[in-house]
Parts: sequence; structure tokens; C-alpha cells
Amino acid sequence: MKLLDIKDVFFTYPDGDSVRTILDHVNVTFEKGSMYAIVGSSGSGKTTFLTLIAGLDTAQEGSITFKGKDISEIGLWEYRRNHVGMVFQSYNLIPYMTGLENVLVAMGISGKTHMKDSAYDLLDSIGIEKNKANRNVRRLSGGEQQRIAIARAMANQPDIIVADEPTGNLDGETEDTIIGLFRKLATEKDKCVIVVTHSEKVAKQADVILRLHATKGTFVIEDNR
Amino acid sequence: MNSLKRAWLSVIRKPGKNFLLFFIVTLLTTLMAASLAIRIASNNVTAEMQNRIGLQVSIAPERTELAYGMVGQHIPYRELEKVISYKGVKSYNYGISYPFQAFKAHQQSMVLVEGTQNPDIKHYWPNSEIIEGRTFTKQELSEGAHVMVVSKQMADVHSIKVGDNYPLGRRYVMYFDPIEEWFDMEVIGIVDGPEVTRPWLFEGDYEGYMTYYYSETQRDWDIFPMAIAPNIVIDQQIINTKLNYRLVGINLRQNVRMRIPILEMESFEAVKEMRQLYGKQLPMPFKFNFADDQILAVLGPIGTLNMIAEAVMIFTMIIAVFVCSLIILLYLKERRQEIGIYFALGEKKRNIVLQVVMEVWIVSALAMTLSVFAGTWIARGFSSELIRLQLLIADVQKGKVDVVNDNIPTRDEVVAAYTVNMSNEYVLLFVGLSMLTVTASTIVPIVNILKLKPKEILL
Repeated sequence: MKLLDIKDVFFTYPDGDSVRTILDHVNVTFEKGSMYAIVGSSGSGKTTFLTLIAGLDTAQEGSITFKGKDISEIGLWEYRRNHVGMVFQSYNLIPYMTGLENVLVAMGISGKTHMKDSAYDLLDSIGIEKNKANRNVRRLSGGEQQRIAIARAMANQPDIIVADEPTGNLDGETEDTIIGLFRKLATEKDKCVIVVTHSEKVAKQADVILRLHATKGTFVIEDNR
Repeated sequence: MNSLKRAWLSVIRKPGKNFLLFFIVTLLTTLMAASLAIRIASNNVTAEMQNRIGLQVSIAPERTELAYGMVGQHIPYRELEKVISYKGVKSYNYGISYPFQAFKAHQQSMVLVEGTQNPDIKHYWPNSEIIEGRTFTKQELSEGAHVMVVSKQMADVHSIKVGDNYPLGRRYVMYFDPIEEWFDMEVIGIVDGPEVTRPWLFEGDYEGYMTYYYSETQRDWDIFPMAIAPNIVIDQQIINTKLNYRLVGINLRQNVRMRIPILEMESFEAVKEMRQLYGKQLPMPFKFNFADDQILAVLGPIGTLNMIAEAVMIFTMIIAVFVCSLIILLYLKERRQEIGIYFALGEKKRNIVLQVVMEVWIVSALAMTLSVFAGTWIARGFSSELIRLQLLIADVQKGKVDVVNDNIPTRDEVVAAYTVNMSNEYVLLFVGLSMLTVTASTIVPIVNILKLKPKEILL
């Protein structure tokens, strides 16, 4: 089912006196229940593309439609609040809070209150037990922090989960676990998971690989489904 | 979890980082609290002393002229009329009592009647109450009705009851013709009061001669008039005190006790305005003695302290806004990532702003709780000593001001009235001003937050 439709998206950066084209009239479609990997060399524009999908930035040309509605019409803040979950390479957890509180913050922002039990369940479903959920996030390992970041991304029950290099700071074993979690979210929870990665190993776990051509600003799509 | 809970967690989980803000806010708000406490105490003591001294203005010859035998001189009536017609004059008293003949008495006697425009009987008999009847109505005062309020002493001696018509007569010589007039005065009230021991002030004494003659137990009418009545108009002539006033200058001086006209003003603003309008218009050697001259003389140092306190408070508020803004800016710079997360999660900007403001308010509230006590303590210790010292100097100044009434407070009385209290007014004003200051200090940091872009922070 078509969830996110990227049409003719054009994006440039000012580069000194000239302008550098990052995305040159890109057309991609994302569907529910699939995991997507966006790969490309450094500076190719992977993260830029992710920020557009996540509603953190707007394209200069083209449109991004979510369930048939342009996300600018939905409102970027509203879109981020209710339809997208984000996971970052450096976890970006609120450092003075516990794992549980980090999840509750996201739930509160999306308008869900008194959800403590749901938050524990969510954390439990990604392998964070209650005692760890109540621990300050700085006292958790990188893998545990990233799990909490994923739980937080799930807190508003979004259709899309975007992740920017989610395993970049993790060891190989933890990387497998985290990617396994993403796969489960796509297949079992029917989410559209979009992961930006440098790792071919991670990319190979995805249903669809989008290879961004650094100079052309266009995607080569490998559909493994 | 809403923004208030987040603010609370942020404060309690990062005590070290909030300490700098807490320390600075405590320091500055303590200064504000001390200044405010001094200001309120100064204002209270000023108001108390103003109430005590009253809103009176007297007109009397210059003391140097008095020294040359001008006791008994009165300002010409036409000059006085200009002054009393000023709208800020609430009531006036020509300051003259006249001895009328009373023929209904057991024996013929003199009754001292004072003309009035003031229905407040305490103006004439300070410690007394009306025991029968009533005081004057506005209409009676404006029409110059033939009514009077008498002392119990006079009522007893002359067998007067409320409702009686009591004739009062007067005799005088006008252009060599003897004139005799009688007025039927309706008694509308009888006044009684407690016996009080007071120093007897010898009439006509001034300046260096103003020594209390002796003390005795007496009633108010032993030194004040026995009866009061509105100024009476008959045949287009204002008699009673107003005519007496004119007669003083002709040939009845021997019958009239010298008094100083006293005006009761509407407000201190009216006193100030009169000072500006008429201050220099009186003919020589007469001059105004303003009640606020006395206040200025007595409360001058308190006024200075008040001004210093106000300047310190304003300066502290400005510094507080500036310093707190810088601290909050530094603090938020460290929290850019957290703010970026809220943005990424789609949190409304107003909730992020609310969180920051709440954090500052929580820290400030803790600081202010400490400051309100510290400020009061400092204000008590610092200003009381200063006031005592300054008033020593003021005592010298006070002696240079002519007396309007004898209620001028002493230095010890002013010091006693100057109390720094943790009143509701003080606490509320302090909390209001401090909150305003700390809230103002969040404006620049908040503008800075709103400019942040989550993409640049997080990715």
C-alpha cells in the first residue's frame, strides 16, 4: 500500500558562489510493511533526503505526500508529531531522564497521557526490562540507548520510522539486534521503516535499497522483495 | 509527560547546573527585596506621619515680624478670601472665636463661639463625641444657618437642651455708633468628652516663648470654644467669625483672641498646588505654613532613603534581566540537543517556551523564598540605623519650620513608626516584581530558541 510518495523532489545547497544539486527531481514511493535502506557515499545527500521525508526540512521543488496528502498541508510539526518516528545515530535521548521518561516525553507530545504501562510494554517489546527502563539513560549501554530511541520513535504509533545511521555507533552484534528490531517493526508491526546507512550489511537486510548517486542526485532502486 | 513535568525534572535532576542561576537570582532578588522593604516602610511611615500632621495650611506673620510685636495681626480678609476660594480647600477656619453675650443664662455671661465650615466636631474638640443631637449638615454650613453645637459645660451652665432656641448677642461700635444684635441660635447638638491632662499653651506665645505654661486636667472646651456654629449671613453680611475677622482690624481687637487661620486641604496634591499658586502672593509679612513643610523636615532623611532604595531596586532589576539572560542563554546553549529532540518529536514551540520559563520560575521561586527573608533582615538592620542617624540631623532642620499644628512627631516617634515588616503588600509586590524581572530575562533566550532548526541540531 502506497504510504509516502516522493514526486519530482529537487533540492540544492549553496556551495560557495555556486549551487550544488543534491536531489534532482527524485521520484520514490514508500509502502507500509517494508524496510528501505538508503545508501550512498558521504555527502551524497542521504541525510538530506531523510530530513525531507521526516518533515524536518522542505524541498525547493516537488511534493511529498503522506497517504495522498501533501505533508506541508498536514503541517510539518503535526506530521512529525503523529506520523513519523525518528532514530538517530547518536541516540539523542534526553540525558537527565530515564528510558521510561524519554518514551513518556514522546507520548506526551503526541497527546497520549497516563501511558506509563504502555511505555513499559513498548520498552519490554524491544528488550528493555523495567529495571533498565527506570535507569538514567546515561547509565545504559549504546545498544540499550538505541533500543530506547527506537521505543521513543514508536511512542506516537507512527506509520513511518526513519533512522539515520542507527547502527553507526554500535558493535557488530548489537547492530544485528537493532536491525532485527527494525525488520520486525516492518514485517510484524506493518511499519514503513527507512534506514540511512553506510553499511552494506545493513542495507542487505532491507526489502528495497535506494542507492543515491552523488553527482546525479538520483536514486537507483534495488527491490529485493 | 507535559512541559511542566519536564521543567520540574530538568530542575531537580540537574541541581548543579541550576545552582548558578539560583545563586545569582538569590543575590539580586535579595537586593530587590531589601530595597522594596525599605521603600514600603518609608512610604508607610510617611503616610502615617502625613495623617498625623494632617493636611493643614496656616497663615501667619513671619516669625521675625512677630518678634517686633505683630502678635494679633491678621491677614486682610480680601487676601484670605482668594486663598479659601481655591478648589483644593476642603474646609477652613478663620481661627477666631468671638465672645457673644448670652442672656438666657442664670446670669449674663460670655459665650465663646467659633465659626466653622467643618462638620467634624473633633476639629474643635479633639477628644469629644456628640452625646445628644447631631453635627452640621452641608446645607447648614453653606447657608450659614442659625444653628450651633455646644459643649456639655455650656449646656449645663445655661440649661440648654437640643432643640432650644438660644439667643446670642453682640455689641460693637461702628463709626462711633453703638450697635447691638441678637441672633436666635438653634442648639442641634451637645458634645462631651473625657477629661484629659494637657499642657496649657499660653495664647500668643511664639518661637522662643513657646513654652508650656503648666499642665492641668481639663476638658477640651477649657481651651477650645464653648460652642461652634456655621458662619452666619444676615442682611448680606457674614457675621460671626467672618465679620469678626473684619472687625479685628477696626476696633474690636481687644475682644478677639488672636488665632491663625487654618485651611484643611483636600489632599497633599492640593497642598502642593496651593504652594505653587499662592506661595508667594501673600502680602508681607504673612506667609503660609504648609503641613508638608513639617513632613519634609521630619521625613527628609526617609525620603532620601526611599529614593536611594528605589534607585537600587531599578538598577538591580536591570542588572538582573541582563545577567539572568546571559546565564539562561549559556544554559540553553548546552541544551540545544534536547530542544532539537522536542522539535523533532513535533512539540509545539509554545510548550518548549513554557518549559524554559517554568524552569526559570521554579529556580527563581526557590531563590525568592530565601530572598524575601534575607531582604527583610538586611533592610531592618541597615535602614533602622541609617534612619536613626539621619533623623538626628533632621531634628535640627525641624526647628526651622513654623508650626502649623502641634502634632510634629519626634525623632523617636518616627523611628518607632519606621518598621520593616513582611506584610502581604511587601511579599506580593516582591514576588510580582521578581517574577517580572526573571520573566523578562527569558525573552532573549526564548527568541534564540525559536530560531533553532532541528535539522541542524540533530543531524
